[in-house]
Amino acid sequence: MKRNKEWKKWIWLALFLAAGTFVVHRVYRVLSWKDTMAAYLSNAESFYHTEDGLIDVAVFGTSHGYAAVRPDVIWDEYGYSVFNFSVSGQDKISTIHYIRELLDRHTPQVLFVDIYATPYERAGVLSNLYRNMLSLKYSQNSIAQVSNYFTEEDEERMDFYLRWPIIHTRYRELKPYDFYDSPANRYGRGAVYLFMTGVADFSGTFSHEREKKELSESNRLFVDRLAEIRDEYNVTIIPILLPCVVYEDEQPVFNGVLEYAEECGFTCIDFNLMLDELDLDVTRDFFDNTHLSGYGAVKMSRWIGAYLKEHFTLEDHRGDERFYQWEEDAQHYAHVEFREQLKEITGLSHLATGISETDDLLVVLVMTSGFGEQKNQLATLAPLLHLPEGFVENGGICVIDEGEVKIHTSLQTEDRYYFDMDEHHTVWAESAQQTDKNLMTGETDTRIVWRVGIDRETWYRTEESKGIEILIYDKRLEYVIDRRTIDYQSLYVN
Amino acid sequence: MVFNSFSFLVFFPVVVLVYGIIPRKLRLYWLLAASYYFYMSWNAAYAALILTSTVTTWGCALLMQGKEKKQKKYLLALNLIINFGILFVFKYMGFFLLLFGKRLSFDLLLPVGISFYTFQAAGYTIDVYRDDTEAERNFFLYALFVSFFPQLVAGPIERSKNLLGRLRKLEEVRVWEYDRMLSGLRLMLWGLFLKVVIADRIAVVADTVFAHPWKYGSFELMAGVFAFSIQIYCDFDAYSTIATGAARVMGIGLMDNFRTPYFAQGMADFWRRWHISLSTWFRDYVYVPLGGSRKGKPRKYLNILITFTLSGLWHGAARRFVVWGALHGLLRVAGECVSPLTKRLKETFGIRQDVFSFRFGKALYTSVLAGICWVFFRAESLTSALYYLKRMFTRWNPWVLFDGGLYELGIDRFEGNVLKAALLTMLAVSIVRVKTGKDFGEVLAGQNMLFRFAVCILLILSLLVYGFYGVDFDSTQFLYFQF
Repeated sequence: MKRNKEWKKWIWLALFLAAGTFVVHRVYRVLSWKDTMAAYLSNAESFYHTEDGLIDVAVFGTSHGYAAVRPDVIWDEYGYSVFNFSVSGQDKISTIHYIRELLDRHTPQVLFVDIYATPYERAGVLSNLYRNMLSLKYSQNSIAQVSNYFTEEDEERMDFYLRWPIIHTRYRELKPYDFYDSPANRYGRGAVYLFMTGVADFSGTFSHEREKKELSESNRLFVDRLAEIRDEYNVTIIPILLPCVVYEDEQPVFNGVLEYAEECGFTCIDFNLMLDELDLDVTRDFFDNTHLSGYGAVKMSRWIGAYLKEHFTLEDHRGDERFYQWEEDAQHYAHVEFREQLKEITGLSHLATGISETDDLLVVLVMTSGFGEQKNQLATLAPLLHLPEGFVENGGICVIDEGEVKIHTSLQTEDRYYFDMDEHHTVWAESAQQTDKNLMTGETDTRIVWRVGIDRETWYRTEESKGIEILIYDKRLEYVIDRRTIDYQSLYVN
Repeated sequence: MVFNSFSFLVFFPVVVLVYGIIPRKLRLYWLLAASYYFYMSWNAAYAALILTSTVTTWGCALLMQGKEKKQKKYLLALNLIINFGILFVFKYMGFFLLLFGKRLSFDLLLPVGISFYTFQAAGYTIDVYRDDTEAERNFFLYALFVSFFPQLVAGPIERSKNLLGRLRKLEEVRVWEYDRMLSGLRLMLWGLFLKVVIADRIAVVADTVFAHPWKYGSFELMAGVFAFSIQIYCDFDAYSTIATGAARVMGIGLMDNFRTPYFAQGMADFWRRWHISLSTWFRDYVYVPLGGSRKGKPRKYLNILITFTLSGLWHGAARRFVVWGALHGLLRVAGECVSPLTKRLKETFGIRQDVFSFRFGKALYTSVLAGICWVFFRAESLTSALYYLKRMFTRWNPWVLFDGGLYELGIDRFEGNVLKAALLTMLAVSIVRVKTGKDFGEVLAGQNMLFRFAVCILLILSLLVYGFYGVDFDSTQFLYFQF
């Protein structure tokens, strides 16, 4: 009897350990490292959301890699399943382990490996070290990544093995995407758009002198490991140097690596030697000296698409449901492009057309005063914007979700309305009576004040403007992509 | 290897597992090996010191057996000279040379825990001298008594009657006893909570204020004193709790070292609750031999002052520690002197002593006095301590209670809230302890299973999430390691 009771206790202990492990695991998911600086976008997360065996082509490297090659462009034009597995500051050791991580789950034909990190032995920025070391799931591969990167003398090595000592302090910065996945991570294919443009200065220290070569032991090892992977997995690996301004001390390193890679039987591409062929405009196609802009990435990606078509036999997966993430990714970037186009629109009809032609938009219109003579012109655009009857005449607040009016009110009395856009976000409008008292005269002024907001953020108050206020919320991107005011006299969109 | 380290997280389960499965006769040797490994993880050379202390005390005690009192006295003196001599060389020589305006021409690192095991070993030989305990013949058993790893570097300073007696019955211990083991583990969990969630977090406030007292006014300086009072209590109690828990897991009981000292009703009571193993050591081996209270009041007061001053010196070779000890002695003496007066005042004004408000007021008053003494303990020097106190009582700035100034002492509002929640938890556990007389492990063992589950999981999560460890955190060692 007593023995039986003892056993029960040990079973309870096992249950406790199971419950504790479950809770700790859930908490780990919340606290685990996430790229807060990149708005929680992580191509490792996107990678793990991808069904095994779908990726045909992958790109590895640093931020240069994810800024230069856009899988959505190649998908749109060729239907190839390209995944960009570049990470900011991806060091050589991490590149090798990211390649192995991908090859453990997929059977790609081609891997492009940017060699921009070869002059550097270690991550220069701590956040990049975290990005690279903490993004892969726990596995023999991720443990080997830490073992190969740190020496036994590095005190922080154990912290990177365990991860908890690094990530546990994140409790101070938790945000919604720590508790549920960012939608973009579910379908993203790894590229990141950089729409701002700068001028790349290729005139200075850039040199193509091929006779200057340096090959460090770590770079020799890097190329050797690439060769081992090529032979082990029977995959084509193409070492590349993406377009960037190269400094005098870097060029000999790149030359040395590329030459040794060619000796090892790799076909290498130095895109800096092909700037004209790529038709890159240094004033628009670059974000800065070392990264392409979104516009330059389109050119680069088209070139890669054409290169793949010419040299490999890859399948066009468009229409195949298993590859829905590439389709969603393309749609995502269509929305990002729309966001960028919005910045250049100043005419109301263009704005209305743009809105009407784009899916997944929620539009909030607030009109505080009549539009007088311009009313007729506004009325002609009403169907395009799906404005309800009476709105142009009387003003008020109108919330339109994908062409359907969800809230329409003149808000002449105190009231409140709300509409759940999805499971996480709610748009709301409310009116309240506000009384101001003039202390000198004793007179009181009572009026209705309107407020419109999304979740806890108020985007509009009555006092702010006259005319129409338009708030455009992109449900795919999950943020307000534009907020415009239409002048009530000129209909000019500010 | 500190208790709140990854190494210990691996070391301890391995020690327990092997201890539980090897033949009973080997347990002693296994624990001895583990203890020496534990100690040598700081510095392998330290093992020579502890071994010297062990061999000399063991040998002298054996030699004392059956000898004449006079011979025993010589042996005891010789033994104490050797052991306290080692302690003096490593801990106090630099300090005393400095008093005479000289300096050591070389660096001498203070071996971790030297004061603890020296006192424990010295206590044993005095016990043998007094015939209070029998000399241990088994060298390995005695060596384990001196070096038992849970309490080796920061106590409790065990007595031969307790620990040696328990170690003699090591082979009889039933290791895999579910309730006892779990009670020990829960105690360790609680100790870790005190250390990494409370002590190390509140240490940031104490360190900030004590590092630059000239920047702050009265209220920040009071906050600094409060912070240090909590830090040192949680830090030291944490060590003792983990030590007791670890020993309990292995079926070995250790003596209590703390009993909610900030609930004490006066300074005498404070020392019955604070670092009990040390205060009773001084009582039994210094105060009583000096005559205790048997030789009249003036002598008693002198004995109290001597004992407390020595206790201060035990904590550290610096004037501020001596002053700290002496101050406690003075407060004890002053308390006894004014006792008749306070008694008469209470009777005159009809002050009830059996009510919560009186007990609370007395505990508060005791804690404030102890807090003021802590300034000497924590400040960089005696001069700094005096400056700190002067400033604390003269730079009145109550507005910092309202303008958020108290959240600029190293921890922000969020961290402050975590700290408040942790302190409330500690307060609740302390109250339960006072009410039941049981420690955390024992109290929890009496609760329903779901409650036990929830408390343990919450504690584990608190440690993992809110604990001060890992990247960018310079792990604070347990404060009492330095003594």
